[in-house]
Amino acid sequence: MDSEDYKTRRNMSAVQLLRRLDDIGAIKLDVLLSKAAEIREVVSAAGGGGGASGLAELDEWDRICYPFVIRIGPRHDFDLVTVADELKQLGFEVKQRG
Amino acid sequence: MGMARLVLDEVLAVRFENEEPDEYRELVGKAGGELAMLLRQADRAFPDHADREELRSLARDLAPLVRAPQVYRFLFLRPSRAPMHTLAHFCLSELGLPDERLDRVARLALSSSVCAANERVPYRILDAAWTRHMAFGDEELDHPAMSLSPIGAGVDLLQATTNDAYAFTHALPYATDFGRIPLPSDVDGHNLLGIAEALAVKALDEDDLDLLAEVLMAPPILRLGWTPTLSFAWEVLERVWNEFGFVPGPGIPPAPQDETHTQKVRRVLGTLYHTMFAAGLCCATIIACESVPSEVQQDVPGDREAPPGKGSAWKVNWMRSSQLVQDSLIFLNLAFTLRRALEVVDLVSIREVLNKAAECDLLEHPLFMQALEMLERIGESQQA
Repeated sequence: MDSEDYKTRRNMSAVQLLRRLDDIGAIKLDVLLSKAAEIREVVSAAGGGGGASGLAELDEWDRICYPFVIRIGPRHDFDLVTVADELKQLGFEVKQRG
Repeated sequence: MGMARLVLDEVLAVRFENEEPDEYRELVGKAGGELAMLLRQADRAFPDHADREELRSLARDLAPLVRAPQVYRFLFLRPSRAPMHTLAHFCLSELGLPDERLDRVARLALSSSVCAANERVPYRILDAAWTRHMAFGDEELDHPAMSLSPIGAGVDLLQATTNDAYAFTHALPYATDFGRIPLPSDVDGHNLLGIAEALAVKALDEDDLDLLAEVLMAPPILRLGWTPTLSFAWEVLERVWNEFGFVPGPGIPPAPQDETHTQKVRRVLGTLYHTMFAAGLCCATIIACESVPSEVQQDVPGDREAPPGKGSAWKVNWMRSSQLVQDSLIFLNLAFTLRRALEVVDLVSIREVLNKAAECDLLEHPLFMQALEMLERIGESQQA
C-alpha cells in the first residue's frame, strides 16, 4: 500500500473507521474475546507494566549516537589505547578484514 | 561485519535477556536499529561482495530480536514513537526479510492520528522522516524540518558540543538517505562542507573517532569532493583502524562493583560497537556514493611544526605526512589555533587567526565567519 492510501486512511472519518473495523472483525465482541488472551500477552510482554505508562521508552536523543559521554564530549581520563585495551581484555578477536 | 557478529552473539543474543532485562531491551532497541541500518547501507554499497551471505546471516539473526512482541506493544499503545521501533523492521524488509503482519501494524501506527505527536528537535524529525520514507516513499524525505535543522540553520561552531555535532552528522544522512537523494538546490552545500571541516577538527582535537566517522560521511553525501583537512581526517581514521583492528570510541562507562562477565561484555562491547558501526556506515556511504578520498602519496615526512591541537591520533599522521600535505592543511592549522585562542578568549590571537584566514582566502569559511561575528559583538559591547 502506498503513501496516498495511508494519507487517505489517516483522513477518513471516525464513522468510516468504525465501519472498517466492524468489517474486519476488530470490534466484534466474539472476535475480541477470542483474541483477548493473545493480545494481552503481547501488550504485557517484557518491557514494562502492561500499560502505556509502563512502557520503557528509548530515549531518542541517544539513538544513533555514541552511548557514553556524548552530551558534552569525551572525558579526558581516556585515551584510545586504554579504550582499545578494554575491548581486547574481553578475549574476543576483533580484527579488520578486507 | 566482524563487530556486528560479535555484538549479536555476545550482547544481543536472547540468552542474555534475563540479565538486567530493562538494559538488555534498551540495547536491543538501540544497537539492533543501528545494526539494521548498517546492514542496509552495506548491502547497497557492496551488492556483489563476497560477504553478502554473511550479511544475510546477520540480518536473519537480528530479525527476531527487533521484531519481538515488545515492538507490537509499542505500536499498539504508543504510535507516536513508531519510527524508532520500526526502523529495524523496514531496513530488514529492504534486505529481503519481510514480515507482513508487522508491516501492516507498523504502517497503521505510522499513519495514526497521533503519528507526529512526539515533540522532536528538527534533526530528530528528519530521523523519523527517514524511517517513514522506507514505508511510504522518498517524498517523506523532503521535510520542512530540514530548514530548521543544521542543514538550514548551520552549527554554532565556536564552542560546539558533541551533541551539536551529532545533530549535524545525523541530519545529513537522514535527509538524503545516506547520499542517495541530493539535498534541495537551495541548500548551501559549500557552507555545510565547511561545517564538516570544523567538526572534523573538533573530533581530532578530542580524539573522538566516533564523531569523526560520522562527520566523514559529509563529503560523499554533499557530493563536493574532499578538502585537504577532511582527506587528512580520513587518513587518521583509517590508520587507527588498521593499527587496532577496529576503531576505538572516546570512552566507556565506569565498571560497577562486583560486575559479572555478562555485565562487563555489555558495558564494554555494548558501548564500543557504536564507533565500529559508525565507521562501517561511513565506509559504506563513501563507496555507495562513489566518493572515495584521494590516497595521500607516501613521501619523506615533512618537518613543519605541528599545529596546537590536542588529541593523539592525528599527530601520528601529521608526523608521517609529507611537507606538501602539511602545507596543504591550512584550515586544520588555523582551526586548531582558533580553538586554543577561544579556550582562553585570547582576542589578539583570534584576530591573528582571522588575518591569516583572510590571507588564505578562508574568511568566508563558516568557522572564521562566526569568529568574526564574535569579535563584532565584543567590539559592540565596548562602545560607549
